Amino acid sequence: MSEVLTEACGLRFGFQQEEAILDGLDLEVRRGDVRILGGESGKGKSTLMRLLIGLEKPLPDETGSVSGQVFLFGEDIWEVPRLRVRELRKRIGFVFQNNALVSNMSVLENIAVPMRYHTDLPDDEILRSARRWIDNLLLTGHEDKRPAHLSLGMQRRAAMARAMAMSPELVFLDEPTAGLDAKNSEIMLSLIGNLRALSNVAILMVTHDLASAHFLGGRIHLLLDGRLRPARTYEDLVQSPDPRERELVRDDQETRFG
Amino acid sequence: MTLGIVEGIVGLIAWIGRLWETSLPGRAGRLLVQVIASPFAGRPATARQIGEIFLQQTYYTAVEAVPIIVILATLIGGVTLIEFATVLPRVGNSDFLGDVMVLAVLRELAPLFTAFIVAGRTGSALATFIGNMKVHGEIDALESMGIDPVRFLVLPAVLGCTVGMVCLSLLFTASALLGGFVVAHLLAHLFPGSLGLDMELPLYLEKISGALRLMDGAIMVLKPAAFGLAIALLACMNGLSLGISSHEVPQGTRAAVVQSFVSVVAMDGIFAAIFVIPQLTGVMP
Repeated sequence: MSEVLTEACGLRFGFQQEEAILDGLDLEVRRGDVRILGGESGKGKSTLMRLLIGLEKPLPDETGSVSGQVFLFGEDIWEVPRLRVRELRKRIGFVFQNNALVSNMSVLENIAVPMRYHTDLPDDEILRSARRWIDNLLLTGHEDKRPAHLSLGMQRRAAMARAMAMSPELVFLDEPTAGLDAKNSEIMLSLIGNLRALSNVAILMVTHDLASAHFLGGRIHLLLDGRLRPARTYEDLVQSPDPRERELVRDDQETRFG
Repeated sequence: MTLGIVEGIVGLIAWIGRLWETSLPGRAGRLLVQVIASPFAGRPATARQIGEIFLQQTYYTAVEAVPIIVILATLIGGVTLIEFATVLPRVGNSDFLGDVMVLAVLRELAPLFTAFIVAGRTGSALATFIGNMKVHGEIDALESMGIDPVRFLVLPAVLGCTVGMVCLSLLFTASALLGGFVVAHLLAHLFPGSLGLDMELPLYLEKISGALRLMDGAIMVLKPAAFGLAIALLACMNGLSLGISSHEVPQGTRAAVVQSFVSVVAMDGIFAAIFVIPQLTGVMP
């Protein structure tokens, strides 16, 4: 079995104690895995991704400590010092749904930020590497533009380039195709597929576009009632005996094909 | 009985601790500790990590504010000089013109007025900039890359604002003392006999330099440095404490500016207690 990169055990989370949206959730992502998280809107899929890298804190248990555990590269992120968590985060990439590019920096500078911060590489080497990512993600000619001057699809690709800049072992993708038209969605998915083929990076992706799992060769976890259902293929879900699972796939097909 | 008293004292200390933690000085103090520790947490900070934002902040705080500071300082210096030059002869203390100008301009007006300008320009801009980054998830994005926002954003902004504030305050002092003299003389020529200023520049400069003490040099740097530090810390603290809603940004900016004004005046009182009162009582020369 390959190495576990991130793992959640018995995770509870809610914006208020009495309303837990994640309730005893378990998840494991191994090296090279492609995991897709699906489910209804507002049920905690994006929050789960934030919990897995420590941007949100699980609810406290009866003793006041966090309920459940989150391991990143084998280390419990609520037990190790904050500095260590930042060290662990150097090994991941995260693409936010709103892209979250630094607005007063150009695309090139955004991609160079993690390399400039974490490495002692000479600046020209960093910029060369950033330009390579710009080419890989079809952003050539846009490197000096600020994020606000890019289309949504370009912003998403710039965020993807920034996430890949440090050659991560695990990438979190929060709705990478949300808000994109069919053409840009396909470009985005094919770029993700290419990156995966190049680096064998593990992917944990939240999406309503469940058919993309089929495209990326991944398996789907549906988040229902605060817990993750076992990983299934898209085809299994289409023929699921559970009407709620079938309904989620049907919603996805309606969104996709109209 | 004894146990009850001990529990009461422990409870009181805990309550004071909680109160301090949530108070403005407590929160700003905690951020200051993080700022001081940040260059040494993990890999030592490099000039590349903080240099660019430091230079941008220094440029924005100091260089871009030069025209407004020079104009304001010249006018305030002129008015102050005319007032003192008119009033002092009436009370038979003309010889103290240099002393009162140094006391008023160098020790009080320059740091205070510069701080108000910096709080209005830099403090509000910094709080808005960091607040927008917070509500748009850019701070979370930095965290997700393992980047410490305090080291990456707050440290260079605080350093830049502090250095910029000291430079501007020195410029204010020079502009108020020299430019003020020019303005006062122009007015004296326009209204001959109505103003008590019949002094030439060499004598004026002699009076100013004769009034300067070593302590003034320390105050000239320490006061604006402390004010600049407080303004930048409060701006960053208010920006970072916002949630995820855009409507919070103007609220955070307003809080940063108001807190800066109040803090600067309060700190001015503390400086007076440290430097002026011992002089009045003869403890300090």
